[in-house]
Formats: sequence, C-alpha cells, structure tokens
Amino acid sequence: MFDLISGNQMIQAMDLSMSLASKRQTLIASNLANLDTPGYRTRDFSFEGAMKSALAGQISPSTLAATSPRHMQGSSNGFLPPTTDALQPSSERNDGNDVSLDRENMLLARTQINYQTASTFMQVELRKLYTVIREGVAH
Amino acid sequence: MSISQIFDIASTGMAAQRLRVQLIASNVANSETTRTKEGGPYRRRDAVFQTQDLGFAGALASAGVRVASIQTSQEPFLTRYEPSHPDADTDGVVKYPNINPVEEMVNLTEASRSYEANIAVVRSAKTMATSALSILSVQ
Repeated sequence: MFDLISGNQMIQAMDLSMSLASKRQTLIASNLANLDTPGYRTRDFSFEGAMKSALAGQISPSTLAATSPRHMQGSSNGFLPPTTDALQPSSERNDGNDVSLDRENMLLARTQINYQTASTFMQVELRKLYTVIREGVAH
Repeated sequence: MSISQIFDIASTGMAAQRLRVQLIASNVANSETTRTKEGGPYRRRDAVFQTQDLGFAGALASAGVRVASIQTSQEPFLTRYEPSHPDADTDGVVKYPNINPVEEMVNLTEASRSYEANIAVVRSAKTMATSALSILSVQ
C-alpha cells in the first residue's frame, strides 16, 4: 500500500531534489561562513548534474551494503553528489580566498527556491493521494 | 539532517565575525591608549580565521569557521612630541598606538557585511525548514 508513496516517481524525484538542495545550501553556508578565511576555496557541486546522474541511477541511493535479499534499502537521504565543479572564472583574492559574495547570495536564493518548489510539488502530489483516500469527498 | 547543519555553520560564521567586530571596537577605543597591562602603548589586534571541521562526513564536507588566533600588530608606534604628557620619554616624545581609523572602518564594514551574509543563510534555512514542514500539513 505504501507503494503509493515510495513507488511514486514524482515524490521520489522531489525527495531527491530537496536532499540535493539542502546539501547545496550547507555548502553555500560553509562558503559564506568562510568569506574571510585565507586560502579557503569555494565548495560547490552542480545541482543539475547531480540530479541527472542520480535520476539515471548512476549513484546508488543507499550507502549501506545489502548482504541479504531481505535487507531493506536505505532512503536517498544519505548519498552525496559526486564531485565539485571548478569555478569559472575564479576570482582569487590576495589571501588565496575565492569566495564571491554575489555568487553565493544568488545561489542561496536560487537553492531556497529549488527547495520550496520541490516541497510544494510534493505537497500537491500527496494531496492527490489524500483525495483518492477520501474517495474524492471534499473536506 | 542538512538544515540543522546549515544553522551550525552560519552560527560559527556569525561568532567569528562578531569577535572580529569586538577587536575592531577595541582597536578604535584604544587608539590613543599609552598604558597597557603588558606595558607600553596599545597594539592593534586582528583575528585570523581558519576553517573548522564540524564533523560532517562526505566527499564534499562543508566547513565552519573559527578564529585561529588573535594577532597583535608589531608595527612601530606613532610618535608625537608632547613634553607635558606623563608618558613622555626624556626627549619629550610620546609613543601612541599605530591605528589607522580608515583601515578599521573598512574592516568593520567588511565584518558587518559578512555577518549579514550569515544572517541571510539562517533566514533562508528557516524558510526551507518551514516549507518542508508544510508537507506534513497535507489534508
């Protein structure tokens, strides 16, 4: 019965999108906290790239080894996107730090919107299921 | 849970920038101080930032920031000829701290902008957490 949720591709994709967005937001927080740290390099990954490769099944959603067919598979929350993209163009300061306040601020807003969009779509999808459960009776 | 990590990282950034502003305040307040506990005029202080590993595992580990050390300036003191001053030497010269108000103000602006950047991260993470919570209210 819970296939309704775990088998729902929309909810799966939105779950992935939210995980990636919050992971990216963590890196943006890290970049902004280290705005004045000498030698710090911007840490980031490509949201689109990570999303594509995860949806193509290149990354296993679970980091746990399943040694028996009866083992449950973990959720997608634990996985990490593969690698960081080099910043183009990089604008390094005299102290070796290349964090750009404008870029990070823009990404902060954009990632927040990505997250909220995913969460709204997931809500819409869950509402559909709820309508089905209530047999279409309005509440 | 990525969102609580975002709060942790942003708070390390805020704490570090606040300490930096404290040091600037101390520098400005003591720009004419000729007597200190260590003896001699006040010496300018500045914070040195360093990334702080908050124990978040992963290929793309995000990092907080911490103040690695507080550096005391070793620049020569400013001298002024004031024979009536109680701290004047035999030639009537008084040594004053080598503090450049313009430098301190630029530093202060930079620190408060960095502080604001961390606040923006907290605000964004809060909005994200609220939108995730709104998934629960589907009915």
